[in-house]
Amino acid sequence: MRKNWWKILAVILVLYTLIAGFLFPVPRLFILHETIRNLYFHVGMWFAMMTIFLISLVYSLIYLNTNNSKFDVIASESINVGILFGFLGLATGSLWAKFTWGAWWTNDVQLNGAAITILTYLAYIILRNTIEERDKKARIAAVYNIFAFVMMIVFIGIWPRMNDSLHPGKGGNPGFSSYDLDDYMRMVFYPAVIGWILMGVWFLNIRTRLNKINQKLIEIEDQ
Amino acid sequence: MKNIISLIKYEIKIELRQKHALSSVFLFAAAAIFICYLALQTISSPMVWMAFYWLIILFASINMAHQSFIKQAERRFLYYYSILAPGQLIITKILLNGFFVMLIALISLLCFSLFFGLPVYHIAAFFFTVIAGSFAISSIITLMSAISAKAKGNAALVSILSFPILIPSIITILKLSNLASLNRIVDFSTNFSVLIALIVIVFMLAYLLFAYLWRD
Repeated sequence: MRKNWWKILAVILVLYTLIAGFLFPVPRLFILHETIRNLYFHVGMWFAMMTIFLISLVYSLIYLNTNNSKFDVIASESINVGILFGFLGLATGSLWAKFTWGAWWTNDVQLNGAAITILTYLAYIILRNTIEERDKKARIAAVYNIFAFVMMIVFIGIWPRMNDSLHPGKGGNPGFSSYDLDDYMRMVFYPAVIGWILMGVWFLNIRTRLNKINQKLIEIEDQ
Repeated sequence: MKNIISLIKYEIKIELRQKHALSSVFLFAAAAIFICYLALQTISSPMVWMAFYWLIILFASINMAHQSFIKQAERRFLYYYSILAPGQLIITKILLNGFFVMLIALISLLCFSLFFGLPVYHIAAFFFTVIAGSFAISSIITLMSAISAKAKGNAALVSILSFPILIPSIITILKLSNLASLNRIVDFSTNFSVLIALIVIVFMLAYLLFAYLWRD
């Protein structure tokens, strides 16, 4: 229980998000109406993705300094999990866009930036698969990871703010103040973000342990 | 800094003498332009003109990076590695490729306008766009071809790695080109500074990260 309390907390928070997100009252805004509830899921996904890519960056830097392959495993598995959250973020955003803007996808700066970051990290996976030797793979992938993270900050954070965007929160103040969050929404939003981040960390935890077990199995088979 | 300049001069001299990379890429660009002419005959809107032009430059630069990095002899690289710090080495590579892509872009511009005309109102702005755009494209492609050369990769890996990161640069370049072809220039300076910022970011990242890449 002492080691796993945060997993139970993750489940409770996500369940709370699902139930309260759909039942609690939300402010009536023009065009948005009830679709503002998407905030709890869509923004949560992107927060989880950014946190997990940050974890991946940190572990890549640690790997470059220590050359211990344990850190490289965490870095690569966290990118796998982060890409999942990225796709979910794109899917929730696209569903929301169909109801508010009338189209699944638009030629918008924020959307393009998000799609490009997913492509960049998919290229990371392809890069890893191209190289055979483990140490070389880890080192080159770590260098590309650092590059990809900086580019992600540019494409998601900086570039959309320099151009006009239809996406809520851009073309004006950053963040969610343009959503006019009221207290009811804040009560669901902050726990939701924490819940999704904890879920992502749990996925990462499971994947890392699975990777370790697979490595051990390969070692036993070789003997 | 002196090292970088002398190495660039030396490389340019070698390239102008042998013309390995430059000539094949010129041929590629010329063939692509001619096929465009045969397929299209005329291009009516400036937007389409810009799109075709920059597409050809993009593929020509990928060709160029492949030639210059992956096909180079191992011995020359070891020699460079011994006399230059790794950060300086990648900066020389990027500047060199940028210069070559700029040459190719300007000459392809000549050929392209021979066939299709030049629907540009502000020619100076367009020239600045071509020069900065070729440096932006070639810096990203050079860094990615360095990574893929280390990974014993093929040209496909260079394309896969570079295309996502090239997209904002291409969008900015196309926006600038379309602004230059209009009758008035609005927002040219903001977009241009975006392009310069992208180039600077890639330069800095390449300078900092290359040492880890070439460790063996």
